[in-house]
Amino acid sequence: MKPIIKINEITKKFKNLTAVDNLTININEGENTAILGPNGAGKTTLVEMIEGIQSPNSGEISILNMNWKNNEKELRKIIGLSLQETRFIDKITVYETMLLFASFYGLKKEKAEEMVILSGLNDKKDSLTMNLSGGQKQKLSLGIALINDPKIIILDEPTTGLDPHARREIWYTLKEQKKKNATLLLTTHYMEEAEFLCQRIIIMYQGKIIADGKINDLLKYHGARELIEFSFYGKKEPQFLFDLPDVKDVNIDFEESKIRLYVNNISKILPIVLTAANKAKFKILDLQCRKMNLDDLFLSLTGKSLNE
Amino acid sequence: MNNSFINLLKIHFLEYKREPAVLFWTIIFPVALSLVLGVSFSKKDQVFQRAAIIIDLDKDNFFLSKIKNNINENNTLIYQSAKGQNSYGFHMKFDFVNREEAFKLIKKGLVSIILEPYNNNIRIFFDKNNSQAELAFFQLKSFLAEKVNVSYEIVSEEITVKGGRYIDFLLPGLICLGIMNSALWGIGWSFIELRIKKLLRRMVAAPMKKSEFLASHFISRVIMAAVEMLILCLFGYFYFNITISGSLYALIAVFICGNLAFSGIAVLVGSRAQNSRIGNGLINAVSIPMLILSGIFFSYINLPEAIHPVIKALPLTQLADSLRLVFNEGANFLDVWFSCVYLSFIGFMTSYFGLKIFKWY
Repeated sequence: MKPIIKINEITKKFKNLTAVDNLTININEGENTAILGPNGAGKTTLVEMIEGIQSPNSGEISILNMNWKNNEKELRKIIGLSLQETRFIDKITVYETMLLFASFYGLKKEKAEEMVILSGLNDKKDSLTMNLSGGQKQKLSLGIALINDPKIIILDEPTTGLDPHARREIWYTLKEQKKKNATLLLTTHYMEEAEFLCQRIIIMYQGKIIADGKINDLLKYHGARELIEFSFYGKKEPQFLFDLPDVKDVNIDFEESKIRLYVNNISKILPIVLTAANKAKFKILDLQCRKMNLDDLFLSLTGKSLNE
Repeated sequence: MNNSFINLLKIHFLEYKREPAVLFWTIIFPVALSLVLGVSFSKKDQVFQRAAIIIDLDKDNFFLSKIKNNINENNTLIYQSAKGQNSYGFHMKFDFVNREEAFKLIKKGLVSIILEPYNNNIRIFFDKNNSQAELAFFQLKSFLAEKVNVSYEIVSEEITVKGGRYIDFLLPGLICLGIMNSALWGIGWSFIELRIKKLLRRMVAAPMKKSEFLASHFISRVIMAAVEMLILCLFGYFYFNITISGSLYALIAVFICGNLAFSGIAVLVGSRAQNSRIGNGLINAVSIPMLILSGIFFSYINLPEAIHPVIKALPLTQLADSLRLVFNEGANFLDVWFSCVYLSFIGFMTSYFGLKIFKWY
């Protein structure tokens, strides 16, 4: 796959805060990429620089060998985007809004009608945007992002704040659009969203990329695939856990009284853990065993949750 | 055909149609205001008085010398009647001007009464329907009887017919106020609101043509202001018998240039503000001083003379003064060309700087 977006050593600072710190990545054509990270990680700043909405203090961004300084008009036509937060003109209907945006791209009325249907808003076609629910507004925003059949789709937290049903509806609309072989770049807090829609995951933290790759590769690279999680009483660190064989990492959260053991084979390790706890007269509560997910990976890398 | 400019323009009018309150504030409210003020100020008394005295430089006049003996160095008569139960006083400032200038002053609302000496008598011109002028007449009458002992003849028709009434002064002012508010709130505030909603950046990223976006705002506001002016003129004609005594082309030129000036100011005001408090504050900071100083409701002539040059430099003053010239003094384009150029200059300069610093994203 050849790179469609090349980001080379970009930095963006706001007064004393470095939102994006000397970052270099390529996004490949036809690839679906999710950028994950907690609030303030620099995800939105990064995508807004790719969208040409913000300019980096240093570094270069090239999209299909074009840049925002010289090729804004051409780039606007091939990119479809949805911002983190957009409100619409209150007293304008869904169809009129779609028609307005279609006209910006020089598209006919039929395209606006088609996108109203594709966005699942046909029954709300004549509703004023002020009367739409959060999910319906996001659908409209997505419809507008896709109206020009873009080569590159950039979505900034497209489902934040939506209920699971509305979130899934948006995912399926995006899956449909993917059949047109567009390149998708999205930011999200939700690992399920990233896992459902994207092959490649980029994890950002404090303006830097701390992990980049396919989900399985990332988990493999970390050296553990499974997780044993339990609660405990007391404030004393259970030293025996650090002496157990085949435990890749131990995470102790005294605030929540929780311990996480990162392992490769639960069925092999769990009896050893239980025997050792019994011998040390350590009481294990609320035991859970499961496969590791991206949140666990993020937690093991930074000590913080993605949703913080 | 799905034209983006037509769509942008259409959206402004759909918003008007679906927001009846906008129609009320832009159209019905100014008419109601002109009705209330126009009627009530033909009944209410006022304290300050100004009068014009027509002088003929070739002749020395008995009346003039009597008047000059009773006024101070500021040409102001400070009169106090004889002490008693009905004792009263008043201040009246006189402008000594020629006949043509005197009638211009009364039409501008700068004086409320004109005295014209002839032989050993005087003619007094004032609008009997204007209570301020009527009060000035009664005040002068007692002064003349006591101090000057001169016979007089009242001529009121000439004034009432040609628009020296308060409503003649007020109506062009209200049109100007409408132009200013329409631009500042309709364009400046609209930019700020679209920016707050992050819709502006979304539209520009779409990609919307910025020139079409700006033009749609300007044209929709000019159309709305024209409708508002037309309704006010029709109301003034049918209710107060107000006619446009000057050139229609001059009126259109002043109207367009006024819209240009305030649209430019609106672009500057709405160029960067990103929250409603700053936006509101900026618009009020621009509009309230002009509303107070520019003589929309009352002439600025009573304000200290030292600030008159500043007042006259305000775009709302230029607009209101030139519109009144066209409405009340029969002005043609040559009489208002300077104001038109001045207003256009303000419009272009403010929009130039506004667009230079405009925050689209």
